[in-house]
Amino acid sequence: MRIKYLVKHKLQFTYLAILLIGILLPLMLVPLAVYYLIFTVLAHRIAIPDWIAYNLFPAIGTINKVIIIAFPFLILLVIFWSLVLSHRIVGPIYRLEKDLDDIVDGKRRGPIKIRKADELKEVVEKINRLIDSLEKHRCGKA
Amino acid sequence: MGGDHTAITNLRRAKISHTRDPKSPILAVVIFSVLLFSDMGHAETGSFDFEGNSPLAGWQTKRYLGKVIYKIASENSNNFVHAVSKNAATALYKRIRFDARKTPIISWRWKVDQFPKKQGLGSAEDDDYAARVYVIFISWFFPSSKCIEYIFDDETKEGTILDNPYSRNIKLYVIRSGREKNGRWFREERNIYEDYLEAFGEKPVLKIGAVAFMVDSDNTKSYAEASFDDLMIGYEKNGRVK
Repeated sequence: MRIKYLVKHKLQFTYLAILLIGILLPLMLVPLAVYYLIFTVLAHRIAIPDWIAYNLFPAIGTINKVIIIAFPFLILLVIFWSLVLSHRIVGPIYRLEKDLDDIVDGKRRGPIKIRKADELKEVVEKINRLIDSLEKHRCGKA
Repeated sequence: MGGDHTAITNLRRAKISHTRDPKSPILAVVIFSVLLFSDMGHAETGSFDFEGNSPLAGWQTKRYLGKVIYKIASENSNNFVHAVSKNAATALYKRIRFDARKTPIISWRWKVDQFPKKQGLGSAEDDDYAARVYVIFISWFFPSSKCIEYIFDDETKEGTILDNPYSRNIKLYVIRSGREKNGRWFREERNIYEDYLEAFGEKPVLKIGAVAFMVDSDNTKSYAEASFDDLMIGYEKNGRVK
């Protein structure tokens, strides 16, 4: 059971960065799009400053409050989820490397175990079959 | 063989026609932006006497509540804009573009036939004026836009500059006042640059992007009636229209 959430630092940070950029960038574009819609498209359509101030300013005030309250939670959630996802990808690679090293060094025998939710499950199964067949071949020769 | 060659050529052509030009999204954004802001860039200034076949060409009504009737009326063979507001707020709006630092003068004539009935509370419930002329300094990001509203009121003292209750970027400048002025035409000539300086305490940075007339009676739920004529915008002190 792996409990470390940061394993192969360089690789995991790369995946983490890709995931964070992939999620945070669109997330930040949403309020920008809302501001653009309200203060440019809608405001120019309404045109009369009094009505814009009366109608749009309170609306944007409410939107700002929602963003200020929700955004830190969303960012924390995104960071946590990115960490979990990146670990699901990098964790098995780390495990695979470590177990293969141990098998090559003769410290242990197969099969390599992997968690159900981890990626690369099929690759690990094929490697296990390869290890199994190599072991059978070695036993046959002996 | 020849058929194969033709098929391959057609396939290549099809591939070429389906290949996306990497510049096309950028071009689309540019075209969209130009279309969006195209009506902001009117370089029109000048005079509007509301005569001729299409006296309100280029003017649009902007409705807020109810509908103020803006129509061309005539008096001694002179046309003007006549507005009637019954518990309504609608503006007559014209996009223009000029620099108040270069051509700061605006002039017009106006007449109030009926002032809205205010409660004398001085609050937002009384925010109705028989006649207003808006000069709007438009910014692409609207909270940065500024506006001076020249007001014809029945009670507020002439020369009073008020903040709009909802935004400090909107200044209400009462330039004509008095119930006894009911039914009489008045000509106004204002130096926008100086009025801006007085109202905001700074020089205008933005260009003027629109002017508007408004007669409103929605807050007081009453009735107002006024007329506007001979609007001249964007000219210098010597009277030359740009």
